[in-house]
Amino acid sequence: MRTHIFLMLLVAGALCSVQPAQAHHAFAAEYDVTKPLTLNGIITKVDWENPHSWIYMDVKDPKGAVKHWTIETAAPSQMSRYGLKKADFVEGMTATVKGYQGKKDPVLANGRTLILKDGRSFYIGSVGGPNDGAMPH
Amino acid sequence: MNSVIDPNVDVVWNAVRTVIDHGKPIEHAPANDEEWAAVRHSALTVAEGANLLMMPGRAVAPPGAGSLSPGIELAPDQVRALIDKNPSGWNQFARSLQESLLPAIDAIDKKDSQALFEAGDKIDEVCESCHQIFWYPAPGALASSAPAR
Repeated sequence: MRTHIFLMLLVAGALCSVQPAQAHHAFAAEYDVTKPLTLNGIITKVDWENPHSWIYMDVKDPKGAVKHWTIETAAPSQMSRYGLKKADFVEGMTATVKGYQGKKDPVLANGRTLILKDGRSFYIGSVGGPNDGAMPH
Repeated sequence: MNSVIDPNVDVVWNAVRTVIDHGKPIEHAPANDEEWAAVRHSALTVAEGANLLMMPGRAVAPPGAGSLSPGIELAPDQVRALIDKNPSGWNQFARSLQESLLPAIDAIDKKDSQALFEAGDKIDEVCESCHQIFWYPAPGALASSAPAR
């Protein structure tokens, strides 16, 4: 019985876990350019993968509650061209992400700029984002 | 696109990736002949799927399908109209998609996970470039090129 309950919880957890939408859509279909945001928090996980990577970040809201944000970024190769390496992501790192909020998911964002605790700043915007000056010339 | 190319190119893209969990990198790549063969199957399916894209007059979506994001992403009949207006441009993107798969297939045959990872970027470039013309063109381009609905 204990095994059955465990399996049921496992399946339920898998069904309920938040999965980012696949990235093959227009930027404006998934993100709201009228809702720019700045997230300060702790990066807990990164999926360094094609065609877009994902940063998972714990961010405290104004009431102090921790929200688990999912942030879409550019492809790894593009971020590498702007200097960001996967080795830059270390345990417990705090960071700031500037980007735009998702239209349907309130804790989904598209990242444009990643600023690490040491002050280094990286362009992480995916193709099709707004012309907001985030991309370095 | 949704049934053949998209799910199979996801297999190619996701075959090699790194999950960095609390600073600890966990590398993922095909680990045996069977897994490499599965990725190769998907890569070839995408490349051959591009031939289907080039079939004249072929429906771009099942009957009744609409835009997933009206006003931002075109409906299938609008996409079809753009293809009919510029078939050579469409076919060039389809051939570019095929060509973008070649480095991936070469990497798979060599079981070179890093090369496969890097090949994924080029595939995405082709996809995005085509999407920006035939699926979600800029608003100005949409107004001038999309047919009346």
